Amino acid sequence: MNRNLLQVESLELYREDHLIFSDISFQIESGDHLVIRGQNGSGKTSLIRTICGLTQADKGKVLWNEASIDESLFNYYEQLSYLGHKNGLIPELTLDENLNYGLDQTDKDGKDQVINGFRLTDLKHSLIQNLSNGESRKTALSRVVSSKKPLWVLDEPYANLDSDSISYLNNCIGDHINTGGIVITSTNRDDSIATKTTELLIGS
Amino acid sequence: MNIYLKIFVREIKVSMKRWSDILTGVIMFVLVALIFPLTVGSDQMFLIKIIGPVMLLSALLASLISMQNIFKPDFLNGSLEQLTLSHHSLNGLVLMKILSYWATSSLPLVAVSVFIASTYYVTGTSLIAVVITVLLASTTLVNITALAAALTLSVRYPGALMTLILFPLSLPILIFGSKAIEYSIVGIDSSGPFYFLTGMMLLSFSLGPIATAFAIRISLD
Repeated sequence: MNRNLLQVESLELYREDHLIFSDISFQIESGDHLVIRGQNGSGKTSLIRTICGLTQADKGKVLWNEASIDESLFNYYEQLSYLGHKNGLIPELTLDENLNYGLDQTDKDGKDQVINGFRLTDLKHSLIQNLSNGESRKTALSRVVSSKKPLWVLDEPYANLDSDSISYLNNCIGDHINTGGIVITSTNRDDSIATKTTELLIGS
Repeated sequence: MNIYLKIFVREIKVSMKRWSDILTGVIMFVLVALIFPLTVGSDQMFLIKIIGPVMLLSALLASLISMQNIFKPDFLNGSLEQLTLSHHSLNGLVLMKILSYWATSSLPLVAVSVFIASTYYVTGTSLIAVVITVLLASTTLVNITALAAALTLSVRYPGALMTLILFPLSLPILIFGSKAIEYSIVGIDSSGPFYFLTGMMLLSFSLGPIATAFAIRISLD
């Protein structure tokens, strides 16, 4: 995998005259796992959405390999796999269909391996609407993990997961950064985090 | 499989699972359009006079009742967000969504309009004119409703706002569509209104998806 670099320069975001965060700068590169920590309502999700280009910052910019993401959005999105609070799964389709009809290219063996790792193999042909919250979350995480994209941005990935799945996810994150990937996660908990991380504390 | 084709197939599949949404639009269309021949009786002259506006208004009401279904479910479950984060052209992906929505919401109306027109004593070439008008008008309406739905995605109760956006934009379609049907039934040269309707349809397909994709990005911000 090529070396990649994500730079965030003095980001500032307002929502209806209310300051969400200001002066956030950091730089991460291949092999880094950044954990964004903060209380509920401290702006973790807003920051993550800004990094992904879903929300426009009022000040500052995000650079991918030294090019502003606004100018090379498609290039950036080719490298980015994002999972927000919402799972992005269609409830009327099965687990397998959701992964196959996704927009990312995945290789079948890699996908099966991840589904197996999250212990979802038996549920492959179940509709998403019949799965539990945790199972849906794992399906959404399978999409990111099997996406083969260098940058993973995960908003509260550990929500609803059992301990086995947390450790499997941590293994996946570990493998990903060891092979030159970049991972950004957000959490409001102290436990359940993979080792070898850089931390960013936001909010008071 | 080509990614755009893949999304089109996915959307058709999902629409089939949400078949009650499709049916709601069709039922609305049939109810509004059938009420006139049922209540007015067999006054053939009157029915022929009103079939144009009735058909187009029914199509408009049908699209109004089902327009929330085009983006709202995907907005709520997060798959619209994933669509905008794709490295494929969002305009193209939105066009696929609009096309699949057209296939599942407008095509049934076109099929049903054949039967409804016969209750208005419209037959032969006039019947073909009615069907083509419904086809052109509903295809244009799909693009307008998609834009209105995308603009109001983040509004909690968008009903009134959607209607306000939709009605002025769809008025030319209603007027020229009615004229196209009237002229072809009466036997006047109807090519003028048909050219206009075709032009509007092409315009809506060339600009609609771009404006809709832009509105989606704004709604997600």
